[in-house]
Amino acid sequence: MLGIFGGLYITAAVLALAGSPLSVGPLQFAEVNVVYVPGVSSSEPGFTPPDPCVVDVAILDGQGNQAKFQEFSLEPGQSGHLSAAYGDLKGGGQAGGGVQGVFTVQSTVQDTCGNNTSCDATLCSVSQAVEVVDSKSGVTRALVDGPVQLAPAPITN
Amino acid sequence: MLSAISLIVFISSLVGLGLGQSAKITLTYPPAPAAVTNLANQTSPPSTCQVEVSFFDSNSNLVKSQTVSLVPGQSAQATLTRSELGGPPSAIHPLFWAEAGLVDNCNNSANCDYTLCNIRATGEQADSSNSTNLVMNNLIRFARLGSARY
Repeated sequence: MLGIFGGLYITAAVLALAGSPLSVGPLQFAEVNVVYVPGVSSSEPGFTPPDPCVVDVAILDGQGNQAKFQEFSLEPGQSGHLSAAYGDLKGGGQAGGGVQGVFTVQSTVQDTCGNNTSCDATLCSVSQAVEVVDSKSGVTRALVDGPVQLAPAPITN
Repeated sequence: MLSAISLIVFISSLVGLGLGQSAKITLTYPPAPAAVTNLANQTSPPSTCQVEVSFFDSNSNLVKSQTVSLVPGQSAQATLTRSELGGPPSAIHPLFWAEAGLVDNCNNSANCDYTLCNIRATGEQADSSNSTNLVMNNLIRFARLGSARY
């Protein structure tokens, strides 16, 4: 059940859902770009990805609150972008337990296959780039990129 | 994305270029200590390996494509400038992604296997003086199957 960006290690995939914290300064912004890489044939004969692939992207501030969120429905080749400015990323000071400008990105592919037994959402070849960008020059100062993993199934009793 | 490409060796994420910046994909073909041959079927790579590097905009429209030929011990770069990427002048941070793939230039030779071309690739962003600002991950590193194309 693996696409071209298929998870090599389930444990690593779950940990990757909540990325490492980064921070932006007052003259920078954070940007998350996701793209559904086109032309990747199924590595799993008989299975296809959902159409479209649905990707949820959230930017959390230093207090863990959701500063920005967007859901993207992507066909192969399409992309989505979500950005947050320094002012969007509240810190709250020491009393609030956060630092202004700190953010964490959570991106997941949603399993929209329903009851379609030939559908496999892990075949959505969606990559993600988290950038820290200078507002004036547009130059990327930091980049963390990788595949977007499938959201874990909810735990049921 | 040309149909001749069937083994991807590099895929970047979707990233932006700032003022004066360019993207460069560096390809190397390390010299082999001995002729690389698949002992199972006695095939070898072509004498010259070909790699096609393609740059796409945020809608995955092909912006630029460049084919390079490498023999063991050689390296090459394919570049994309911000002006080549285009987009509205107001865009502060136009986005692109890139891929590089081996080209099948074996011409159906039974003893030739282009997938044996040991090409390494990295992606970087550079400023106007060609100094590297940033390294872009090769997302193929995350993949179990790097050849699932076409």
